[in-house]
Amino acid sequence: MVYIFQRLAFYALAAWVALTLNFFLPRLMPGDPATALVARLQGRLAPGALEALRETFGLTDAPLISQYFMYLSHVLRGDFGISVAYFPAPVSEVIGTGLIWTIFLAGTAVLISFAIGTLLGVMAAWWRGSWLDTILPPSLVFLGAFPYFWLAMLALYALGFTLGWFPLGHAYGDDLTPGFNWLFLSDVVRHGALPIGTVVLATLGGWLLSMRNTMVSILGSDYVNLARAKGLPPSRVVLRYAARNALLPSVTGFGMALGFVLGGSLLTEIVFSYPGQGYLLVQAVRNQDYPLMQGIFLVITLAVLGANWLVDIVYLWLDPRTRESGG
Amino acid sequence: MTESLLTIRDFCVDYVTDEGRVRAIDDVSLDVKRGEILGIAGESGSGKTTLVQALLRILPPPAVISRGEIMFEGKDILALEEEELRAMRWGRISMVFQSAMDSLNPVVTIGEQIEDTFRAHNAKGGRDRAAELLDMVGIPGDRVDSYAHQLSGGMRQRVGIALALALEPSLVILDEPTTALDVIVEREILQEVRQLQRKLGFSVLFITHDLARMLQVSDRVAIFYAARLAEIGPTNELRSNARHPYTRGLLKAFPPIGSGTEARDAHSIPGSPPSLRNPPTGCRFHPRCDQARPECAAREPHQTTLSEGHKADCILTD
Repeated sequence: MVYIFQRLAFYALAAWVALTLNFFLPRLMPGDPATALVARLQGRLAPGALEALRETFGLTDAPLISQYFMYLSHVLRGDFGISVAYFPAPVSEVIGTGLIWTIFLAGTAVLISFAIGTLLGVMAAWWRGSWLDTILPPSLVFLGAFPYFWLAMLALYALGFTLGWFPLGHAYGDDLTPGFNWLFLSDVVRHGALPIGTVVLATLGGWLLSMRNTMVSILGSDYVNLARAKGLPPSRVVLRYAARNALLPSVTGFGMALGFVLGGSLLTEIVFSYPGQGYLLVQAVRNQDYPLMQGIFLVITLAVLGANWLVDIVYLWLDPRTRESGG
Repeated sequence: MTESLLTIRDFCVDYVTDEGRVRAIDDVSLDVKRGEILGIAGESGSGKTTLVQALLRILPPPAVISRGEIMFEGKDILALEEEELRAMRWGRISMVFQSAMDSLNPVVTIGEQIEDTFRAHNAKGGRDRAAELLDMVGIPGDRVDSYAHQLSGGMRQRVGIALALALEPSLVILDEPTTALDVIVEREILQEVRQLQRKLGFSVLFITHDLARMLQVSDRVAIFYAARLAEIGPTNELRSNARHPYTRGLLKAFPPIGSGTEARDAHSIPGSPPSLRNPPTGCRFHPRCDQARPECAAREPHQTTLSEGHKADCILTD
């Protein structure tokens, strides 16, 4: 328990450092993006709104240190200011919708890829030298070596455009209103199938290979030999003795992937015009939407930190050796 | 003491390689009696491990049994079906592995690893029995929920012994069980094995290259050299009256502990063990033997019985 809180404190510190960098970086840039932005919007805004915007940027005459604290208090309240690209929606709202889609898209893709890849890795290691082991890993790595956008566009062209099996973009049909009903959910799945499928295909090889290689070395370890000699059924030897241990390095990778992917699977979302974080980021860059960019960077940072914390907890549960070293 | 638990007769194992067959065990016959500790000593590559693997029928693929028979408790091990074999492994013949440090699963409690053994063999026993076993090998029973990393090296090897005894086998193979441990812990562990063996009556096949240790623990000792059995006999007989020059060399290389012999008096045997691909003609030890005669290279020695249970494979004793 102490360990979890220790880690939490560490991540809180890291988050604070990220927040601070996020505050100072734009201010260290030559020129003042915020002023430029305000100037760009001059005349399109009511004076009161302009004043509010200035304040959300912390563009007061106050000294830097008080600006900093104002920024911190805003961030803590979840107030990232107003988006320029999606004016006048607040950044937190824009990110909120994008985040849901990204979590669905990337989260599902990473989970499926991790689960299938790891399972295939276990099987490849167990039946080492079989066709599964000789053909599958190289072909999946081959697939993963293609530039992802090319693979995605190919899939979109062949399966979406030519064959018409899947819709060409967006998270759900324009004629549907979001709701918790079968029609909507099935449409979401139909729209998600291609982007998720291509991500899974492109990343499967990595999971498979890392799991297979760890498994192969652990299958040769003494405790696996002992488990076999004890007369345990093969399924138990593989799952409880070998895979359980081989999983540990992969879990670290899983947490990292989860964290990064929450920042937006940029290419996926662009190719499939999917309204997630990555798509938003591109829009923000295009429109010089600094508040939105800042907000997204922050979410990415927090997502990476959060995912790492989760991995720490999962590790605690998976590996008894970590339980003491932290205490 | 005379009843034989394990009988190995005219046993040969070959490794099939691209350059032909390499004989890893060459015409070995020996017995393990009920309730005795038989030590097997020999240099690396002399066939000790291959013999054990053959016993459990877990020989790695290029190795094949080319001749001979192994009878265990009246059954021909080489003819057993897969199902009987599974029951025999660990149920009748179990093993303590070489590396105490690495033979336990780091993410499962030691108690569960013992219980796994019961479950795999449909044997009665749960947590309580696991704790009892731990208690028996000198680990407090409440440590069942401990993980391997919470135990010292010696304790881990004790867990290894508890695991080996879980199903009350009649033969326990100790494969260099104390290599990773320090001398004091090593002695404790071996004393423990000796006591348990007297109490429970199982037989032990004790494999090591530490001859001094082996002489302390075993009832009888078999010396392997280059895939063959060089000499076998009761421990005391061998200690005082070894006949094979190789055994004598080994005895000189390991001055018995407490004999007053200093380490500087230890002698090594010149040369190194022969390649099994191309073994020397005649007696395999003759190129390194200080008593070799011309005929040693010319003809193979016959196994000679010198006294009750004491046999040597040397021309000098013919």
